[in-house]
Amino acid sequence: MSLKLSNIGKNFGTVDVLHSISLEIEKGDFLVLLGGSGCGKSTLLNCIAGLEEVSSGSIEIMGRDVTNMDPAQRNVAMVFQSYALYPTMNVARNISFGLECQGASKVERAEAVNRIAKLLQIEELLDRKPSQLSGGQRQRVAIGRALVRDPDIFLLDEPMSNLDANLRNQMRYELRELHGKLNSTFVLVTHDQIEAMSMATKVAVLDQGYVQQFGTPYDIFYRPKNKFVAEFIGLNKMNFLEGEIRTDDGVPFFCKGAHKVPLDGYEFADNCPSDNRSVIMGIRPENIYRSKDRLEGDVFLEVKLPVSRSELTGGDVQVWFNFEGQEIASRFRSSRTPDVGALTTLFLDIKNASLFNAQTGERL
Amino acid sequence: MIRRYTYKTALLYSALVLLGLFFLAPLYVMLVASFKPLDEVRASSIIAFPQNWTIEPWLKAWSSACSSLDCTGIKPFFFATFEIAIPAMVLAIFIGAMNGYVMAKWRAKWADILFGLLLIGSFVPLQLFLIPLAVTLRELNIYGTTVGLILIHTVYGVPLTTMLFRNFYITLPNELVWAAVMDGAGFFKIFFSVILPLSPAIFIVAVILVFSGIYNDFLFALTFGDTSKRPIMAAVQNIVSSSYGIKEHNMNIAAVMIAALPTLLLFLVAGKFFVRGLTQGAVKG
Repeated sequence: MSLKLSNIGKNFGTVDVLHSISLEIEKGDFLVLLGGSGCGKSTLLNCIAGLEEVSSGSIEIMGRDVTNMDPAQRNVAMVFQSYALYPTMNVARNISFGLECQGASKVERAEAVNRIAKLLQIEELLDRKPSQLSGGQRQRVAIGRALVRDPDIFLLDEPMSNLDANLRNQMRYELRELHGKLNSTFVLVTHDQIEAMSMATKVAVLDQGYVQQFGTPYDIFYRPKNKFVAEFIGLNKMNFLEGEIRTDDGVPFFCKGAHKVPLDGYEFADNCPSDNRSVIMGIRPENIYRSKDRLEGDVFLEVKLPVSRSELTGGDVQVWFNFEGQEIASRFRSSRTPDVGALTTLFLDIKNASLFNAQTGERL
Repeated sequence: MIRRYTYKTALLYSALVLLGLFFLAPLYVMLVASFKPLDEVRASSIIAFPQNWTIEPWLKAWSSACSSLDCTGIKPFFFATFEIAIPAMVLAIFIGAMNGYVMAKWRAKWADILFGLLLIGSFVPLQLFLIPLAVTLRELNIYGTTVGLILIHTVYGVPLTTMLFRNFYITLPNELVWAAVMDGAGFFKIFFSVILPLSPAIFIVAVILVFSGIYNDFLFALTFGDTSKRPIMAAVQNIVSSSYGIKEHNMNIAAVMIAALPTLLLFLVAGKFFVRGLTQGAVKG
């Protein structure tokens, strides 16, 4: 494997920032460390880079234990959030500084700079100083500085947070292209779930120094391991319906008031929980429809609910309904916005719903 | 927007001009006196313009004024001061820059405590150090030598330069150092290739402060100076207070002016950078 973290712990004095973090990724993986501010994602990246020492646990890169090695010995390269280009050096020297430190000859350095400049299409910028570059160009140079050393792992610390929205979309695409071209391992830190969803092969969702879930973007979105992940992921917040489980003729049902829906198609993590257990069903606004045709599975819950409020977001409209005293949200085409108070028939697609333990928030 | 000059602006500018004249008045008095012959200095008003211009006092002060037994002028002492000030300044700035770099950018243990101690060092009155310094210099066998003074000024300059460089380096982003660490640069490589090229403004501030501090020093110069190669401030004092014959005020003033010239020129040449260096860190680069 390319990177293996075993029980990484990190504390600053009495404050524990990372708790026993274990992750493994293969060569060619694109790992995204996703979490809100202060969740420990940047600290974890710095630990992998060697800029921070870990308090416990071990780090292996390409099968080599690097836990106590200096950053330069780990054969990793990093792109910093602020790019951290050397202000007094021109682009060419910025890119080749790492080689210069390794004692590479002038010819070797010039060759490497030309190769990188061609790859990133920054040939005409080589003589400029960082202050003469735009944000996107600076970022390219920062990536170039990482590329030139041909590292085992690329570490990227929120590389796109200083770019405007357009440029960000473009860089996202370019970074993915680059990852495909190089077939090497990337670790990227971000708080932006779109970045995680669009670029990652593996995502680790972090919160308060714990890995809440580690899996593919698909898993993270459709099979959230707990309520935190379910709530954190998804641009439109997931609906949580409080109810309980009842068994009828050996078939478990999710019951909320007078409504019930069979759960025989649901993949329980363990055995089906016992009767009358209070549970929470998570269902995304995107999985609530007004027409039966759009359902993906055969199992659904049909309800007739009054519209409580709506919010136009452009092509889409977010509509909230009153469901047994609880608000649930759905999204429709805005050309067909229902009036407030109107009774609407809804179909809740259970195929992509998640069930959580009401006490612990863990997925059932 | 059209700027309107109201009575407030007028008041402000007249106040500024008056204040400027007030501060320049002593310089004017000295300048005119130094270009007058001695009898005219005594006879005329101190603000009167010279009737008979002469540069004789300047020449005499430079090359033939007497202090105690020798009549060499202040020329040898002038150069002797540079022999002390320049090595001490270079050493103090180099050590201070290193100190500042370590304290600001490497997680050195006790860095903050050491920094506090250094600061205390620079606020203690100089007189307190006289006796310990005398003993130290004697033990090192460099009492009354140029090397001794260089050592003292280096040691005494380091707290100031450390503070200057540390406070400047602390405003540089840590990521810059980390990037260089990732690039495989070592402690000195980072200092010389990444940090130093960013420091010219703070260097000029340090040069001005440290050089004028050493150059203007009187206490150490008088106490520990080589009698034949006295630093300029002590030499000027010797010439001015020399008790032979009549007091040649015009020549004394010329000597003082010559002594003041290097620091004055330094400020005029580098003052622009000085202000820029002092305000650096307040604004983003």
